[in-house]
Amino acid sequence: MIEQTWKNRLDGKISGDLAREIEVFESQMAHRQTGQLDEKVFAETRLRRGAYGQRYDNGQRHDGITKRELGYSSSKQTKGPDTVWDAPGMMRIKIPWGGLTAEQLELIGEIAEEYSDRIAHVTTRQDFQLHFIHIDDTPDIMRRLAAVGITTREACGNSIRNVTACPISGVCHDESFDVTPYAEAFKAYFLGHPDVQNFGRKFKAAFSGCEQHACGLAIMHDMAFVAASQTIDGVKQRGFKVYVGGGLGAVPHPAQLYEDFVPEYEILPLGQAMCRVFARLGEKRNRARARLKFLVAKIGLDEFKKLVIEERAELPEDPRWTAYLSDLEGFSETPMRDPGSLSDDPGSLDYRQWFESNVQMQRQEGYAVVTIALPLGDLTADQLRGLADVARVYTGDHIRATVEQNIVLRWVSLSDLPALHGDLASHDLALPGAGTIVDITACPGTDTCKLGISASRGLAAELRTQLGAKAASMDTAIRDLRVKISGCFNACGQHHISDIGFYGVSRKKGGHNVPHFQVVLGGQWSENAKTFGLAMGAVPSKNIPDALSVITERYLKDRQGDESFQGFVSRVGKVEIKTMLKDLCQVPGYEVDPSYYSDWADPREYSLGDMGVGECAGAVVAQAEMGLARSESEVFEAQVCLDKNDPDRAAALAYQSMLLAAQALIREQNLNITDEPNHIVTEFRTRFFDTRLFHDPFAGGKFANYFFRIHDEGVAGLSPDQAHQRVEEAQLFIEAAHSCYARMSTVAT
Amino acid sequence: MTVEAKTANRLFCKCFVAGDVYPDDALYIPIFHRWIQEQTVPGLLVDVADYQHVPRGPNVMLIAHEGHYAMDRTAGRLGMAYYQKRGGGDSFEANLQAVVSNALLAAEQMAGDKVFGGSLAFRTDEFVVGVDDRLVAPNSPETLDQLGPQIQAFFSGLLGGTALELQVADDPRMPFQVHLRAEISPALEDLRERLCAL
Repeated sequence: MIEQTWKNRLDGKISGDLAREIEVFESQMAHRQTGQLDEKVFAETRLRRGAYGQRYDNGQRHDGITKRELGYSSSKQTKGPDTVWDAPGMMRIKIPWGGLTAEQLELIGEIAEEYSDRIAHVTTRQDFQLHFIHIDDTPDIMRRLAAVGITTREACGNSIRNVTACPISGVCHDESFDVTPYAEAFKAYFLGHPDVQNFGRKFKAAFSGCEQHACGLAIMHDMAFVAASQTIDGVKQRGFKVYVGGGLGAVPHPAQLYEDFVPEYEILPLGQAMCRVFARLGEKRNRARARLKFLVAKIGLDEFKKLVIEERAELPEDPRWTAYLSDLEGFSETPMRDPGSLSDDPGSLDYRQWFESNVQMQRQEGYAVVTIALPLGDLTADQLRGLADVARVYTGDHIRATVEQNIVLRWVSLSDLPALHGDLASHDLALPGAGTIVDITACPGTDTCKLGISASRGLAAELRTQLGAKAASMDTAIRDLRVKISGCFNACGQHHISDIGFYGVSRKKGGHNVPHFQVVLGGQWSENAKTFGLAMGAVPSKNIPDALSVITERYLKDRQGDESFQGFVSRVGKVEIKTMLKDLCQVPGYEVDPSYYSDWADPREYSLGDMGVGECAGAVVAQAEMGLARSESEVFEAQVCLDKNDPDRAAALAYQSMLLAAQALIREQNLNITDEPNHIVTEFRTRFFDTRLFHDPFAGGKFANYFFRIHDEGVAGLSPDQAHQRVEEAQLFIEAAHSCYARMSTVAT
Repeated sequence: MTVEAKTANRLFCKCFVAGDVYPDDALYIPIFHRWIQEQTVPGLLVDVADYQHVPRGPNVMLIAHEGHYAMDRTAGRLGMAYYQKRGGGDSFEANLQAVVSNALLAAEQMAGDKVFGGSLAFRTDEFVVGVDDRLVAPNSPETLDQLGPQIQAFFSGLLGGTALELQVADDPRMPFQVHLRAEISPALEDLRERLCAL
């Protein structure tokens, strides 16, 4: 009887490549557990599969009295530096441009129930995240996601992260054109691409349909594409305004305009050339300065452009650069329901409030986009199923996650709006206030993030409660402000680009730590996050609700005409704002009011002792090391096949492992190396055998000759003994490749 | 695939709060933190997760390595739930006993917390038990045929042989779960004693 596992159950329902990748990851897990795979290499491997660390995964936690060991039985087994194997982690589920189907929503709900804490969380990059996941469960999670068309590959790690795009692109009134198929093509081209495997840090890309709205947030990205059109020789041509070198974090940089107009057929090769320059020249040792923004700032935009142009000229032609362009029309969405009109009945107060804030008319007459406001981006499995049901009735699979941690339904017929509201309400998904001051964005902060300093989610929940109670009577000038909160300076909550932002900091008072938030004012959300806010001073966490009241009331009282909040902040000035907040910056003594010494929704005395090393800025693992680790997984699989009496597959995998090892070395010298075996063998012979670079001090070229012979002889029709010999030879070749790489690294340093 | 062929370990049990006036949910947060400090309930207790902002969800959760405790509001009713995640015994019945035991112990501890001054009580005539594992126990008539009698026998023994009414969720996408109602309502501590004797 075949053992029932998700692997068996989903056999044939997952694309071959994806299934194989997950198998390799599973064998790398086994390698790590037996100590055959270095913890640093494994950490980067799992990050590139979306399996991230989480607070307390070093096996220690301050419980409010003292720091205690969490007694995992596997405390000596690690899944990364200082990361206990059994400790819970986070799974990031990549949702390119936020696009979701009803089936995918249901599956994410199932996974949240079975492996997580029953909550799915929408992130500020249109991803989903699940927390408290055990590493042992991750291969099954990946398989189940893959069966509905989702990969977690490169959701984390030093690669291109989720490609974001405007969630209303294609239905927006004033966009240039729908950027969705371009974002999809960009994602498809770069996912797993060799040229994005050797970065010193993560890389974020975004697409926006226009310049004027916020949706794409181009200015805060490493690379961003803003839709534009030009008439050339009387023909209207699509293209993009391209920005580079933006980013938030501790040292925010607005992206610089790289090119006013890049034709659509040029965006992928341009992106590839930029990635190569970043991989080659980006900082690798100092992680704090390894993002593209630092490279662009260091060498200057002109020099960066020159290097990119040179690199572009060297790129081998790739038909995928333009293949998708002939299928752009295939991306158009078909509404499920006929267009409708708004009812004459104004409906209930709940409906009217929801309609005012959560419904946006589409460019296409008779349809609207509806935003489902999710408090802190969270929803339950029941809600995910309920939302899938609602989508199937009203819109079909036109569902998108947003960077404001919400979900939108596109193509809602106007006449369906009252019924849709009722159905959403039955699943607690009809909260009003989307895009207003109550719709607060927050990163995980101290709830689950190793880098969190203050409780961003706790504060967001508190502000949401307080503001929600008075939202209906709020002046629109205040109601339309945006609030975003990060648990630390790394800015995952995007505090720089909101009207009012907060990020977690700590201060000391009388020997005790006090949670604070730095107040950041005047960031501009619109125009693709055009300007970043300025820090005004740190306020104790418990005084932040009062600080928000003081700021908004003063704005309401002193604004001049239709003056924007940014205009107000700029006019009033930092000194005056600091004065406004002065009293709120005071911290009473510990004996007077100990509540100041705990954070929101966490009664433990506040401590910085639980902070860890963020994997986001973890160690850089060279591309060659990753490639060699992959080759080891292949040869391990070959050994498993021998044990299962499958010599044909064992021999094929052994050969494949040698190709991977050789390719990993070649890529150190030639980025244009392909996956084609003849190309790999020729390049390996020229660069490593003829030059004797690969030669072992004692065995000379013996191990390379194994590779050449196996390549020439092929892998078919071998006896079990011959297959066994091939696996042994592959193992020796990989060992020699490791030695060769070590010698190359020594020379390089 | 049958549950016999592979024992499910992701079981859950929820017992409901009695009455219809409940304490402020925020009160559960410091209590769960104290449980971590004092190791009040079984398991490697890790952290407290606050989901009060999500209606009809896990509400306030005590995260543990083996499973999570929650003052849970799933389906709109407040109760103490225990969601087992890993480990467990080598039979369904052993796992069921362990999960029910953890839920009842947690309920007893919560009800006895001095913060509530005796105002918080749990029903013992109504439970939800289920399996969060669609591979071995999908929400299907077959799973009910297989596990229903075992669940019924277990609770019948626990509740002194009283008649039980069983109700299953009809949505096949949901985890397999059975809602049990009994005609008697023994004291929580009596139930715990009986459970130990089983």
